[in-house]
Amino acid sequence: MWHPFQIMPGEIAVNEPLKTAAKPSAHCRLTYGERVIRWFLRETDQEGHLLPNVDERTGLVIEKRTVDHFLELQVRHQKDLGVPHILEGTMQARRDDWRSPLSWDFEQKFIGARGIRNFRETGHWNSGQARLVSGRGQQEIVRTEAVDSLTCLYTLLADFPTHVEPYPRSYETSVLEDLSIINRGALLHAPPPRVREHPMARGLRGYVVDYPANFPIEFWVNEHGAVIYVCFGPNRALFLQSIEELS
Amino acid sequence: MNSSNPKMVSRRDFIKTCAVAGAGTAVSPWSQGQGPSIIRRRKPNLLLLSTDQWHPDAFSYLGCPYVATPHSDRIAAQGVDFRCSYASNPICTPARASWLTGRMSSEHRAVGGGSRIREDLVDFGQWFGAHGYETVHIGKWHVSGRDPARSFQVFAGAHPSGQYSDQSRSELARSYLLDRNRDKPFLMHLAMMNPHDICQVSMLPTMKGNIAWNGTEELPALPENYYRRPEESEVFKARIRGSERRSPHSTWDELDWQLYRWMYFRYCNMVDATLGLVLNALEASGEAENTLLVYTSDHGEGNGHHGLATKAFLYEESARVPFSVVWPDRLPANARDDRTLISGIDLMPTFCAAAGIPTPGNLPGIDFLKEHRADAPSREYVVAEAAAGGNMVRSQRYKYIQYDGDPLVQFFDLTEDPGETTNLANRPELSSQVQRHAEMLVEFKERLDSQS
Repeated sequence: MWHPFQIMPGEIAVNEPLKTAAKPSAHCRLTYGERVIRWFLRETDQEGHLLPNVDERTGLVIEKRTVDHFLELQVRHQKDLGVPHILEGTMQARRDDWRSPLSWDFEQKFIGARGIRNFRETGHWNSGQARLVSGRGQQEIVRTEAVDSLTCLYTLLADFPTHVEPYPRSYETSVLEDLSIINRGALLHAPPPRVREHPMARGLRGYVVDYPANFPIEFWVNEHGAVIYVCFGPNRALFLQSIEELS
Repeated sequence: MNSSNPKMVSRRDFIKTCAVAGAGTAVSPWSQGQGPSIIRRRKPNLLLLSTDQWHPDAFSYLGCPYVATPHSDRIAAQGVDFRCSYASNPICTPARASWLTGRMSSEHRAVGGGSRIREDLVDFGQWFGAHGYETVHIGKWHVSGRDPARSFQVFAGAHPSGQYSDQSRSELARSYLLDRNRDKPFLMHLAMMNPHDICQVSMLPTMKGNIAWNGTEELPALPENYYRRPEESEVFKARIRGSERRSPHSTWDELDWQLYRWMYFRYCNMVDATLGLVLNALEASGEAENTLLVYTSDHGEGNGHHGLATKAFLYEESARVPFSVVWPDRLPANARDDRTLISGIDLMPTFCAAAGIPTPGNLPGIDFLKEHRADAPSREYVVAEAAAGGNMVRSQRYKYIQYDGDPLVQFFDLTEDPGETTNLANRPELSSQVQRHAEMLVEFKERLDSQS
């Protein structure tokens, strides 16, 4: 099966108590591990399929605070490349159907990258207009785009809109990708039946955010609204490692 | 110069016209006292923007209905799209080593499987760094035996997953372009990974309905030549079709192939979406006017053509590569070149000519921009080598392929048969052409510096 549930089940498995009982409170810290397939090993499983070589990546931490109809997030997302690339900052979002980011202020850090300096990403979305500012001082790029609806991985992880029914309705939105790109044409629909039937999906409800500039992204959510897994096609996944009550 | 589009007005002429008409809406460095002659005296920046494993026709601007590539389209619209460009060897390591050195794989010897590049060959990071450039490499390297951190003054590596790391690569490049020290021109290679992630998919066994394809989105149709098998050598069948790496997908049916193509085009979309960050940064930096941008891929992708996936073989889908070049005021915009034959070994001599510096040694490639501007082509053919052992000779009309250890030759008329469906090698009326192409290969090989 071309899916992280089949390709890297051991690497992303969430223990049952956490999987079933995790419940994001109004003020909590969510920690997600990340796994990415590097390539394949020279070994095969019992069915003769090549075993994947799975890399453990740092992942991301979201500290979330719910204030009335809004979310306040502190996010740290580390990507481990040849040099660590860290996105760290704050975001305010509205608790609407798509958990729309309203404003954000992040730093892009490239640790140890000779000749490359850190970068600032700020933005606002208001009244159908998104304004993204990248850089600092005189070296800035300002973009304004008309965007009717907006969502973001971080807000969906923090507070997935489980009240939205993907079957058979779908909502079109745009996705703020790593704070610097707006990808359009995202729809919400259900995962394929065979994935819903997989043992790792047991007890979870699946939602797929699908837009042309990415693979369909699956969010697997437990009955308390905690996002347990996020699957980005066959070779990349996030999985919940812990929820820490902060209030 | 061969262009299939009407004559385009250069930016310089356009701005002059505006000045005469009193429009004054375009504000360029020229209106602030810098004329084009001043810009020309500055060495140009050189930006090699590469993807990995991009099929030469998988672009919106070429009419592919399954892909969304607004930023690739933007590049093609700003410059010249060369439709006859070929990898020196259609697999990652040797193709990239050829870019770096201007040498064929039989010269540089980095042919994959851990084989190391020849130590005595200089790469363009070293060469341009020694000639007054700030040299930058961001992203995929994949050339054994050469430390990129020593060849390039600015270096940031990568993770092999494009889905995980391509946007970060673009962010790195963006940060560099906006914040760099301007006392030197730059040579940058931004090496994106995708759509190479499709290789992982090609290693997976057959399945149906197990990816998040929603069932309503139309899957890409199979290519027209999906079922075509022109007479192929036994060596090709054993080393390519029968290779261990291809065994997982050797039993795929039509639906599997359609799902593979659907995923492939999504990987293309994915990396294209990140390119705008770099293009915007280049423009915002004020250096776009003085930058020669080459946008290409190390090799192509089978994507179901001839029932093949990935690369490493010499059919068009694997050996031919996308190749768009932008150089404001020196090349026209929105132009297409169907005539100039280009090889991956031409990057080094072309960059050297653009920068006004000598080439490192007697390279077998040419300045393709000079060839493009000439009234008539002087280059008769290009050659590609196969890591599995074999060669391709591509002339203006024909293509000759022979794999090592097998006398069978494939010969295609690419004007009449671009899908390479019919092997014409045994046609009596073409015997002299076949012979001439075999001679071309010998001629070319004799010019190479293939030290034993």
